[in-house]
Amino acid sequence: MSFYNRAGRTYEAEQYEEAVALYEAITKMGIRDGRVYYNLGNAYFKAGRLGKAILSYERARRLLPRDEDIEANLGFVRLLKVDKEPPEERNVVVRFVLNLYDAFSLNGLTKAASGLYILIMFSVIGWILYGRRFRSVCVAVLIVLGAVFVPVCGVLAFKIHAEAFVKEAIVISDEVDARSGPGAEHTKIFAVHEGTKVRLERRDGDWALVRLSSGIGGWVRGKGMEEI
Amino acid sequence: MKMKEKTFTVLGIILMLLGMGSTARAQEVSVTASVDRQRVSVDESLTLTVAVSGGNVQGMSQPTLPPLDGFDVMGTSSSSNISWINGRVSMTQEYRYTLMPRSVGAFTIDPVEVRVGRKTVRTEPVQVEVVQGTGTKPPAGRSAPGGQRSPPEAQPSGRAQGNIFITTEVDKHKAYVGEQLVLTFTYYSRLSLWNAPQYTPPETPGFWVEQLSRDERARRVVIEGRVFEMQQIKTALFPTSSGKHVISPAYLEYSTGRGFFSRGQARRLRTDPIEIEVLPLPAKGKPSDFSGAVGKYTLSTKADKASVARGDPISLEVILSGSGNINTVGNLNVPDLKGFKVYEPEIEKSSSRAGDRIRGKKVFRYALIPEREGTLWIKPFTFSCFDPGAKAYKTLKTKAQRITVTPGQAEELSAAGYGLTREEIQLVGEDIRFIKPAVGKLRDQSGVLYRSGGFWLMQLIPLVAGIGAFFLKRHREKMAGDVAYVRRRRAKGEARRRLKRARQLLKEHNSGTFYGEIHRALTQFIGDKLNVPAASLMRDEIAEAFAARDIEDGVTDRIGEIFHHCDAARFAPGSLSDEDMKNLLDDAETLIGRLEKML
Repeated sequence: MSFYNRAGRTYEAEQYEEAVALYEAITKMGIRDGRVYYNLGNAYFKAGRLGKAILSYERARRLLPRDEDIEANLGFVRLLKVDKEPPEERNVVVRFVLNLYDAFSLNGLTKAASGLYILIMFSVIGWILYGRRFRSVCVAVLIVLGAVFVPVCGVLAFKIHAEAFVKEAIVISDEVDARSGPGAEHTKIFAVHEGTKVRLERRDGDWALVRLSSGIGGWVRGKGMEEI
Repeated sequence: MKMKEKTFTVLGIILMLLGMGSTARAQEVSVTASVDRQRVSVDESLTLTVAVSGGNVQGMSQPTLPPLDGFDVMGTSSSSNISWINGRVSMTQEYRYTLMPRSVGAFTIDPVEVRVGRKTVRTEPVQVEVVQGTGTKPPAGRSAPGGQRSPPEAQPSGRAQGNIFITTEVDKHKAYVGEQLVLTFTYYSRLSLWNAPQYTPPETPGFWVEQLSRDERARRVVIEGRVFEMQQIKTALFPTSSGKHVISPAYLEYSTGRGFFSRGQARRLRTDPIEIEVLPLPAKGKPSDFSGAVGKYTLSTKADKASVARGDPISLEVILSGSGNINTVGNLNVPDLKGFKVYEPEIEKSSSRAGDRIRGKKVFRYALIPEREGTLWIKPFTFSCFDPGAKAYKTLKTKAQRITVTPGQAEELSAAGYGLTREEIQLVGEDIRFIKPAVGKLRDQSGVLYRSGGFWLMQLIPLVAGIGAFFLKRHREKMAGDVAYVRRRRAKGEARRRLKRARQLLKEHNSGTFYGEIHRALTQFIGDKLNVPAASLMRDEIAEAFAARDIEDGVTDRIGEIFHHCDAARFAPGSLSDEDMKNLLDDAETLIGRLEKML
């Protein structure tokens, strides 16, 4: 806690590099608090390290979804990236699911699903024991709960899948060349710049196969990026 | 008055007559020059006719007039005539020049040259005598040098000799380069003319001319007791170079109609030329930035706002106005405007007339964009001009102006150096939001709930509860539908209740009821278990039922014993001690416990 306050004071004194060091120390202690990552992102941004700032905000966001400050700063900082990703056209259903996906953390969703499950079980018990008198009430409650429970579980499944299998990284170097194979001798396909989010698909020694949101992929040196 | 036309025949015409049939066509051409009168008065015009005749005058050039001293050429006309002479075609081309004498005296009109084919043919010179006219000599416009223009009403005597006369006057005869002069042409008449007179303005080489005014209606003035109609045309003149300049005569042509002394001949009036001395601008005290503006000017500025957001433009108008020729005014001296981005000005020029003075206005419209916030000063603009009234150079200076620049939207942007466009900024704001304060303890939020065993264990609780509920429900249904089951389930509890009551009775030494309770407890218990009415249970029946269920004989015997004791005690109270009664109770209790397991 004292580290946190000290870091805040250095930030206010505009000594951003020191603030970065202090916040990083907190995370190294194993305390992964969304607020720490958010402040760290601010400090990195003020220190002129765009990639690291986006990385920190992304980490903060995973811990504190629905936090307005994080969203605002991430949105602002992203505007300064070299690589501009055009907003994708999506229909209403996909947008709804994605919003739901982004609005809850993995643990939050787990808790929600668990809570819903408990409520459903209580309704079932109620139905079993008092079914004769309150049958229709119980059925109505069960339908409503089930209607919420199913999509929550669906999104939760995606979250768990993402947590367990999808690895994303942020480019932290100014510019990173993506090549057709793991090695500098391969042809350069494209270049990604600081702050761009990529999906890590595979690792081969020092090299990693990454894919951009547009779908194109290439091998880059692992040093140029950091996993969220 | 009518004069016989005298013709001078040149040598060429004789040659032409002698050489008829000659093959050289050029030789057939003759050129003559003649005047309609050899003696004219100074206020009359004469006509110079150049006639070219010959077989073929096509391809000839227009005659070239020699420099005419003492005459002004007022107009030209031409006519041609084709005739047959001895079966030959003869063409005559005539050019007529209307000449106006300038002064009295004898003049010679030098030979006129005409090019015909490759040859140049010349005429003989013509003599003309100009005499003092019978009409009015136009009064001289010259007044005393440097004197002011006097009003026409105060004309000196001797002028208004004729019925019609004209004058030109200037307001001054000495002027600086660029200083305005007023040239006034006045026309006096007491005749009613058939046609409107034709005015030919004077030529003013070396001056910039601006029209000032022209009287639409004639005014009446009285000169020497005679009433004249008077009209004036005023012109502003600005000398463009120094030295002596001459304003040439102005002419007025009018027709007297069927007058007494001419057959409707055109008459011309003429003014005297006016000499102006144009002084160069003094070299002394000439400012280094002087660009030639002469006049009486003022300079002012007007900014559209005194406070502006950074990056927003200010419109600054610098207005130069006053009397003088605004067309010759150059540019302003723009100060070094620190902190502003200055764009090229938009310049608007206009001139107006105020009385006999030409006034001009030149507006320089600058767009200034403040580049930093705070208080900025627009330093004075300067402009140098020569004031001919004061005969001195003046440097005009505007007031310095204070501009307060507030930080604009663009301000924060460039300060932070993010370089975002305004649209992008509107999306997110100008900067990142501030760090979060320390509220509450920091927690490691990275744990994943679904991976912890405790979480899954917790999920079992509702499941178990559900299963329990299911069995509870089945139990209830059994209870509701099966009397034997219900009796059996309740048997032990019932028996225990009775034994408890028996123990109570024992303490109260109520032996009569005590035995009854014990007996009842046993028979009820067995009856419940076997689902038979307890009251009808006899010892033999119990033994029978027990034998059928493979229950040890000992148990049956024990029951018989207890029954026996109870019966005996009921009929002979007090036969048993408290100790025995307690043993009996314990026996019954143990027995029920054993039976519970067996039945």
